[in-house]
Amino acid sequence: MLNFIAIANPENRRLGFLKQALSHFNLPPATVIPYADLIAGKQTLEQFKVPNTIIRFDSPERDFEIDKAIIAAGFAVPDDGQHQRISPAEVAFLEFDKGRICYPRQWYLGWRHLLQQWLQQLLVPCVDGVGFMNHPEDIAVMFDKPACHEKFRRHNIPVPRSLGKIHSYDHLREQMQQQEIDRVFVKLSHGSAASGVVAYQANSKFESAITTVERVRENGETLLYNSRKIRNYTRREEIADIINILTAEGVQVEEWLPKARLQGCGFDVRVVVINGEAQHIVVRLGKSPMTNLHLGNERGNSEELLEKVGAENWEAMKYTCEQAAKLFPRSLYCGVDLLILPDWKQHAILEINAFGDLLPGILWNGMDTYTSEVKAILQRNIKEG
Amino acid sequence: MGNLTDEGLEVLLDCPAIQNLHTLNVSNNCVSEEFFEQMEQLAPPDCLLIKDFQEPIVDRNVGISRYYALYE
Repeated sequence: MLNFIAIANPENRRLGFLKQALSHFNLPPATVIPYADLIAGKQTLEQFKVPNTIIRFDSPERDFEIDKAIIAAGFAVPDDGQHQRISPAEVAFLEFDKGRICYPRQWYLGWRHLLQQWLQQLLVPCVDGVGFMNHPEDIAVMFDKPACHEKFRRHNIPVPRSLGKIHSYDHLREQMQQQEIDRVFVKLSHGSAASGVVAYQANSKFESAITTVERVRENGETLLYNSRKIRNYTRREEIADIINILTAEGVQVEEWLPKARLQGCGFDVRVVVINGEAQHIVVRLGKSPMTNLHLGNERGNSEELLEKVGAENWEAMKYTCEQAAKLFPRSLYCGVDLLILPDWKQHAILEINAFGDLLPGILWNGMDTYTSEVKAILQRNIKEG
Repeated sequence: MGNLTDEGLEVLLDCPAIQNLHTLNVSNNCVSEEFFEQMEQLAPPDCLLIKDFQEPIVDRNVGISRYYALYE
């Protein structure tokens, strides 16, 4: 019998999907270890160094106290970035301010440090990815957009052209001119859910930054918030301020590629790869350059997509997603964002997400993502047993 | 994304040039459903009206538009 351990925030709805998936195979619910307990040292993972244990790290999302603890853990991590820093004592006084973009680089440094620490506590022999559903080291890389882009590029996975490391607004303008690219996506290196994403275009006459970022001036400083209301900034002063704050936290800047259109909208596709196989898909129709569904975008018709793409092209696209996932061989699943160009043939990988499997209601072979993941674990276990 | 309200759309519909449009897209503004119901008489005939995602004006600055990002 396998013992599933889920490391998560207990109120996260993802745990419900895992429970349902385990129960589908008559398995008991996972033992839930709250991130809060692990971070506070109330529990360690050493207790799980036993055979037949499967550990699932899930997203530490939607808990401001956990965010604060992760940011605090990142304070002492050496880093040469120009990001804003905040001491653990100051972190303690941070108050929840919905949507505020808070110390993303320090958050990432803390998250990576904690994942390493938890891995050390386990040191479980890891056979072909079993032991962890997703390996902590892979998770850390998947939270690092420039690192993923570079990894994909090195392995000939098609990706939008990167402009390289960008330090500031002026540097961005200079690089766009030098590299003859007039529209780019600027993304926070460690952002998720379109947080800190700017679709920026500029020429000699005008510039425009379409973004989820809401810029607020308060007491002489700029605060950035995530907003569902997509804004189009056109004043240089505002754009430069936003870009300078984002670049200080670290960004991935890449060419803004045109998207094929479906149902009157540009779109991309979230493809969940499980156990090496591209399985569940969601077409995300974008009313703006950002296609994330929580921004009010709608799911598109997958049948229509497959019809337009054609079987041969779709096989090639799935293969690309699978190859991208294969670069993380110690991880069972991931969510890959696939862009299809207007010729319906060329394509590129935009992102890979360690926790990109939350697609409620989307089935593949009659199973949701969580059920398919558990099935894959059981099948691997039988083969190895 | 705009801040067009019921009053703004009414003014727009009063403009003669509007009568020549075949499509009028006022998505992502702040027009009320009640106004859309009333405006059927005001809108030009045969004009396709697109009106997705209307928000209350009060949410245009802060409030529900802001979101706590998931970590994927």
